[in-house]
Amino acid sequence: MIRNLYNLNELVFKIKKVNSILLIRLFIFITAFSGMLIGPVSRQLIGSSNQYLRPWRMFSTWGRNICDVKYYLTDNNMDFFSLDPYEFMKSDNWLDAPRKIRNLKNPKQVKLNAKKMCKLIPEGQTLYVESKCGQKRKGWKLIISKDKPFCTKNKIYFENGISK
Amino acid sequence: MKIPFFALLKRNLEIKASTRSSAVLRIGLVFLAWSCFSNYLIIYRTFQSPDRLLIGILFFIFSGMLFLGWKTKFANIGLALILNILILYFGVKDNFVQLRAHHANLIALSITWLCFLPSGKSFSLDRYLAISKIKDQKHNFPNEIGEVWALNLIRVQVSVVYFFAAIDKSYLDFNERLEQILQSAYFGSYFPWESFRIVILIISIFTVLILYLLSFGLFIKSWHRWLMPMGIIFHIFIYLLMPVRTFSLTMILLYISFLDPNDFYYFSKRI
Repeated sequence: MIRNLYNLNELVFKIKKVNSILLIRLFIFITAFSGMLIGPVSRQLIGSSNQYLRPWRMFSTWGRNICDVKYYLTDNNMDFFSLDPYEFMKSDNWLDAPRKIRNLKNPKQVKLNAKKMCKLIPEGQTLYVESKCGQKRKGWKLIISKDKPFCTKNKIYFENGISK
Repeated sequence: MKIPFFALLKRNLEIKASTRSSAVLRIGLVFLAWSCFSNYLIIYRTFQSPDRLLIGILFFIFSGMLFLGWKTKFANIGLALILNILILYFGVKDNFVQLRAHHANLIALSITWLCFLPSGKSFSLDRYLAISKIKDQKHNFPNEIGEVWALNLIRVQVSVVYFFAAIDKSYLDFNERLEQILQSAYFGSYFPWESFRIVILIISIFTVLILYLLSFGLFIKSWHRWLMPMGIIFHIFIYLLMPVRTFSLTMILLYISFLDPNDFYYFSKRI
């Protein structure tokens, strides 16, 4: 115990010897470091919503307004053919497709576009749609699954030249 | 009894070295501040709002003074105050998105930490004026040596940015977030090559790993030879692919703080 006290005494003596400028710099460093940490720690780790505390979140919300869509055609519900939607639209390929055709931003636009496709598919074919939309700081969210058909265009049978 | 803590303090908070790297940081940060903020602060945009007009004029005065290195410390403190007001008052309170973006925040913080560096001792009007006063005395120019301990503040700031950017991306679906960003910007809703999703998965893992690596690795001097070029290429890619504005260039510029100031001095003399 006496030895510990002696060590403590020696430590205090050495602290006193340290240049006061060094201690001021240490104080500035600790204050600045705390200032650097308070924003990201409170917003990103603790979950604070105080806007004055700035986090280091880059592109966490950017690009979430996009839906990924795949179209499949089948006539027997067994063999599915992936469909290039640009063949059905005004452009031949995605490179020169207008941005509003290329970027479907929400489930409503996806469903609207899929309904347009329903009108264009060949007779006797069934259209399946698989779509997922972006979320803030998360992966894709499934909005239309491929489990059930989106629409079917029935074959038109002709009898004596007059359609039924 | 040994007290390594004080030895550590002395080694990191008592650094007398060349001030040239600090001066280059000063000039580079002013260029970046102009690139980032000027468009919102020119009189054409601020004339009808007296508070913004005042802030804008002060911004140009202080940034001009800091660029020239005239009354450097005063200009540095003034510009740091103005930039932090811009971000917290106009950016956050008035919800001006461009002013509270991370790239603007990084410049404001870096200029704040620059206040603690003797950045006016090199490449500055202050130095020119000091030399002019003693021009009769040959070879008695003021030296370009100063206390550059505050380079550590900028180093730690860079590390904090990388670390929390990495934390923000450390979740299992980050590859899908990257798909969303790339689809939104380039490919649209119909992904042209499904196999490219594997490439995006690899890019997402590499991104998180390099961010963690940069947040700690830059402090290891022997790693600079390969880690700094890697970081610079990483930032150039981000700059070319996404609208990060001044962020990439600011981070690359701040790498200078990790270089030994005396090495930087000899390098600058050679070029």
